Amino acid sequence: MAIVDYGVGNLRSVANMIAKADGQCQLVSDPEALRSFSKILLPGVGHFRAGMEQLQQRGFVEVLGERAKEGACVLGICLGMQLLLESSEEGDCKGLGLVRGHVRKFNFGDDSPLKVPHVGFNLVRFGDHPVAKGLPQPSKFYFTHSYYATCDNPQDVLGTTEYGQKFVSAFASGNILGCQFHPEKSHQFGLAFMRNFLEYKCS
Amino acid sequence: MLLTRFIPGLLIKGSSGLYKGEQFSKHRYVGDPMNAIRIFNLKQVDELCLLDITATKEKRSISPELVERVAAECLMPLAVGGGISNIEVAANLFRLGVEKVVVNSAAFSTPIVSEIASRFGSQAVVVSIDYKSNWLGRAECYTESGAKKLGMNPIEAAIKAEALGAGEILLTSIEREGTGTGFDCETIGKVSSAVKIPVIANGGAGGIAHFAGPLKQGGAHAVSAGRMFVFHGPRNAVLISYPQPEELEMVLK
Repeated sequence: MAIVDYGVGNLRSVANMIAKADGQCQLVSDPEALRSFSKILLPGVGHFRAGMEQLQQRGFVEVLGERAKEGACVLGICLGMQLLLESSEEGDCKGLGLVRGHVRKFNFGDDSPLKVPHVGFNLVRFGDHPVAKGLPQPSKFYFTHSYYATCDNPQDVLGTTEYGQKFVSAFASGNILGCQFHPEKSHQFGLAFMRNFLEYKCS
Repeated sequence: MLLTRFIPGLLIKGSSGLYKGEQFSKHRYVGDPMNAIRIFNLKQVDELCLLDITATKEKRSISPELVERVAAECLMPLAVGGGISNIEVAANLFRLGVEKVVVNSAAFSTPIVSEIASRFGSQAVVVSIDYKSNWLGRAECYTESGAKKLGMNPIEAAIKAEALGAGEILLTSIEREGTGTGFDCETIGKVSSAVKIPVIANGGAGGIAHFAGPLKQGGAHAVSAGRMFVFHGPRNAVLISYPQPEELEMVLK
């Protein structure tokens, strides 16, 4: 699979986990090269607007859209998941719009004991989907984020997590998937999830 | 909700391997860090903390080559520390795949904590506070692996660290660490109630039963242990281990 290298996020950890899951992957910094991959991973850590700007400047936006329409399997991780949606409150910015939904900020008020960003291991409850095959219910995954995804279409929701509220921690809209958590930091659970994604046939 | 963390704290000296000591001295060679990490990967460890205890004294910071190898092998979040006093050194460590950087000696004498917090977020910087009692029985903080007095007690240090932007406090009792005699729940309690940021209790864990104290009475958010995870039995044979998830869950009940 291709890992989109757009200057954002730590790609090495993701590549290492894919290797541990007996998968093959390549870091891709040339958008045209994405056309030869049927599985694309969009990682990301940091600010939504900064991420979108990098994707724009490096010419990834159109190609990602085309590959998605052509049925390539796309998995967005953390910021990558958020960028697949229509817009985010972070930077008040438009996303790739490949999945219907938006990104909002956690807001618990100053008196709340809950801290933002949401950092640490939390539980994910998955719906029935090949990518969640064999994962215990619930599973532990590592999160580190201040913004969360919402899906307009409830059928797209793949996994939910509780942090002061229930939020979408994973979505699957046809061939476009996203996970808010970091599989590459979630040891056995992350490895299993990654293995499932490697085996997953989208179309 | 967020799960309580049980964090193995591994100590290294330069690139020469893992060590474990008692009360910050008498360090014994334990083995190759990579081996320990592979074992922890298999045991669903929540988070790993790797500290280079001779870095500050030797006027360097934790080896980036070692960190790169560790980060590549590690399937869980990684916190590293050892002589970090410069923002570019920290930035490089994040690029190598580290989630958090632990600062001790430089925390209050340089602006490193607030620099990391503003560029990478508070969750990326942990301030490590080491303390022991003086002859009056009062807790005093030390830096440089216990060699130099900081001039503050742990509560004052924790409050100051929080104000500087630290995301977490790693609180270590120098007297208890490596002894397996249990945590200093009283001091842990005082520090946890003085700050809003999470406190990781460290120093003294001899068995799972010891974990309950700092978490339930002490108000700590997480516990860290070294000896318990690298030694086993009365003769301290080297054995890298980690409790089963079910055993840890029992602690929290």
